[in-house]
Amino acid sequence: MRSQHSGRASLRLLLLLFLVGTLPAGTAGAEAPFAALTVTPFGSQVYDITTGVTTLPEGGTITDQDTGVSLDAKRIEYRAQDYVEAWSVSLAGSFGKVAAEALRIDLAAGLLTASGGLHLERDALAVDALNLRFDANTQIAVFGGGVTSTEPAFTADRVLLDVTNGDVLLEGEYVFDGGLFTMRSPEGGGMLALKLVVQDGVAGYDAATEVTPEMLARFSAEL
Amino acid sequence: MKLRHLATALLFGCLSVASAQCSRGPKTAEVTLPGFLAVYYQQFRSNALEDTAEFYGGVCVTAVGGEWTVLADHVLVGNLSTDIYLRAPEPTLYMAGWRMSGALLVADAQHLSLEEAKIVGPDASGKAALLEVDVASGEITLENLLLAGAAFQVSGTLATLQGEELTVEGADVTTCIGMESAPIALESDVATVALGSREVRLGGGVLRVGALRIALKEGLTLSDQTLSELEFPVKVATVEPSPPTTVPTPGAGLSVRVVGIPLADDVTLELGATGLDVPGQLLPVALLRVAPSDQASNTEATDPEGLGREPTRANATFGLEAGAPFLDANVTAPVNPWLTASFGARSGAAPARRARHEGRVGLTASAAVPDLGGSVVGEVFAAATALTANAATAQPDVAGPRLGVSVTAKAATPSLSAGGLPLGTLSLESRAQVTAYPVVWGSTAAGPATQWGVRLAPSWRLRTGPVTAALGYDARFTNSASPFGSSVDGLTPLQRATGSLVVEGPMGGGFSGRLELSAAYDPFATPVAVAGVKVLRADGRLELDAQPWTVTVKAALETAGLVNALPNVRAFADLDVSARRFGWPVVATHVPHGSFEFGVGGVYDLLGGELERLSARMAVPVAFENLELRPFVAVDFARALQGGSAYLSGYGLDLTFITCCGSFTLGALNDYGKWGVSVSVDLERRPGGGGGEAAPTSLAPVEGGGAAGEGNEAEPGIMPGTP
Repeated sequence: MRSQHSGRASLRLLLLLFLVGTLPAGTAGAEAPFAALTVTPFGSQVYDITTGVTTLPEGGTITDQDTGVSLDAKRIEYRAQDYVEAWSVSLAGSFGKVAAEALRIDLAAGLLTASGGLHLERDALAVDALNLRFDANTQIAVFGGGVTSTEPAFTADRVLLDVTNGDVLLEGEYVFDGGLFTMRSPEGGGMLALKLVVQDGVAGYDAATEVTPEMLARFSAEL
Repeated sequence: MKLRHLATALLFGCLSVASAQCSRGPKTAEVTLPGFLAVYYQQFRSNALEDTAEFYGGVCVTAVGGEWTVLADHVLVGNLSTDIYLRAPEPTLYMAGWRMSGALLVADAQHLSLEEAKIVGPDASGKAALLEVDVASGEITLENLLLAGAAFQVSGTLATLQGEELTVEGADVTTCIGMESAPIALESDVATVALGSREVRLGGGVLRVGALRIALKEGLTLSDQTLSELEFPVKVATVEPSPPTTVPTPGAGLSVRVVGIPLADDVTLELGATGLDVPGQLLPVALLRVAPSDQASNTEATDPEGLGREPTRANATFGLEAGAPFLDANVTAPVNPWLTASFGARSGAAPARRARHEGRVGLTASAAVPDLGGSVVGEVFAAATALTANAATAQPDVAGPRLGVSVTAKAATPSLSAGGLPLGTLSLESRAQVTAYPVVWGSTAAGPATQWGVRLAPSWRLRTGPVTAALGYDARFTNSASPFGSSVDGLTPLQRATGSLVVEGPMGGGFSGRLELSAAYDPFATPVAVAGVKVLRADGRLELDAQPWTVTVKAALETAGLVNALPNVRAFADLDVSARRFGWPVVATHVPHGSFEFGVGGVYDLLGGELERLSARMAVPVAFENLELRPFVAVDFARALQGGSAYLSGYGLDLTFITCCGSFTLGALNDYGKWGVSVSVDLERRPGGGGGEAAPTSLAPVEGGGAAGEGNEAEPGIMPGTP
């Protein structure tokens, strides 16, 4: 049995922090995930009383009232304290912009996965990937399925992003296109660490094939 | 990210170096600048704050196409956003067959410098305090260069390399390789080294021997080949008096001379001594020889019409020969293309010969006779000649004018054949001469005389495959009337027919051999020779090349003495078997260059019916770091077989001193009482077995698998020193 349900859904979509590089990790960790989000449907809202699943067939907006981050989707489905699924998703916030065909948030595990037409665009980084996996607990995002970046220009088997500081790690076979030159990974793959630096207001990256122990520790769960 | 600048810096920094290839591999990443270069590296990091980028853990920078390659453990690129530069400690550069390593490579967009550079090429190696490359022109400059080949070493304060030509300023060329201060060297303001042909051209300078400095002629060229073929300028000889005498004769005995000491253009000095083994007869030799090596410049003056006229030629020798004054000067001047005038003056004695004092003028006319395959030469001369017992004697044995005329004609057929069968060639040499001695003075003079002589010498020669056959006849008619004897223009009559048949060549199985049958027969007696068979001989040699051994069997059978009993015509059988091996296993500390040799030989006198000689001999080389000895000993057992005792029939020693300037060998051998002395040098032999550290330059080391990027056809690889 389904019932119409309007108004706000107070879910804290802390998963968005994976894209909010400016948020301190401690702040994110101090809050309970998915606790205070506002859900605004574009049209109808269907609540299945038997399953507890709420569906927004015409889509809607999920807004984090603390950070201002908002998620727009053409279709949203969620169950409180369990999961959120959305289709034709776009995110906007201080972290930049993210688009994906499909998105799922495991509210209990604090895990977000997205796939299909995945695109991240933020300061000094513009990435396209087949899929994304973000762990809200570790604040590490993993782009996979063949990653292409236009800024800086590279392709890689996998790209790991530390959303807390913007550090990027290319893994596997990669090709870094510097315009005049092309940097290719060793045969069979390797790693190229891109550490975000801002100099005179311009964001860029220091690149290194030798990954620092600190960065390795941050990404170790995904390597 | 400013890797664009980094790649540009690498391009600038390494544009003029190395020929080798590296590739992307399992551990090697790659940066390519399409169409220009590729960088293969283990690790990379950039630092935006310091404006630097680093490749490390083994780096290879190579041009697409492999014209050059740089290998280094670490390459730093600095000032990425401004004046970009590159630093690579202890790099190795490969370029055009050369490998260059150094303490530090620094490069910017205009220059590349390599400090404490070491250079190794296919045939030479060396070092330079500083190597600089002008990127725009490709010119390489080397400061304090030292380059050593197999035979010689070149050093200089400044050198520039353009292509394969190295120009060295303040050049010092020596065969003494690896010495702090070479005891002997050629010094020149400028030397040009042709790296391809390994030649050094000196634009003059001096020869420095210790503190002695001797000026050099212009345009001296040295090469590995010329030095390896260099004839040691020391001549050792034992001279017997002629005519034979028991009276001590100046110049007789053992003599040693240093020849060809350059003093000026076309002037050399000969220094030495004669009579070294004759008590009281030690006499000095100091001769200046003037012999223009190239008088072609005179051709234009003497042959302005280009008619082929020979230029005027002159040579002179003067000084002290065997302690006495000596002069010999000659000038030959063309009168026209077929007529040449000659003028000569001589005063002095050759070693152990009578002294000759003479002035001579002559005219020589010559004409080719193509139809007869030969030529005709006519000569007239007038001379005033005096012979004395030796140079110190004023009283002539014989003196007087000589007036002579002669005609010499030579003719030869081309190679004859009949029906494809080669018939050889026929030739004829003939000469007629008359010399008049209108007035003769001296202790042995016998009044005016006229000597005439006619010679006819037809011959036939055929060579086909391994067979050579020859027949000849030599008819000399003369009245032998020269009062000056055989030493000036004396003639002797002869009637002799000769024939020979030679078969020689490889026989397969490592064998090669030679068989010669020869005969000489005088059909008519002359005042100085009786008629009869003079030679009837067979000589054979069989050689087996069975590395490392060479075995030789030689046999000779002379039977002329059996056919007719004539004075000085012998009959004997000679057989000799010997074995020789180079690289004899080490007896001392080093493998010797000299050969180990042993053999036995015997000579049987067919007329006397006795064993004349039966000897066994052996030479054993013993080598040390700086010295090699090769003693030789021979024992004759012939007398032992006839009731006597064996005796030492031969002994000798080759003594080789191996120095950083090359090796020097002095040999002395006594064979049945006759001494022989030899001197030789080998400028390529040095302690340790060689010259400079020349070694074939290998490609840049590579390993792993996979295809190279950007057209590099190298095998995939990583850098040296990587795990």
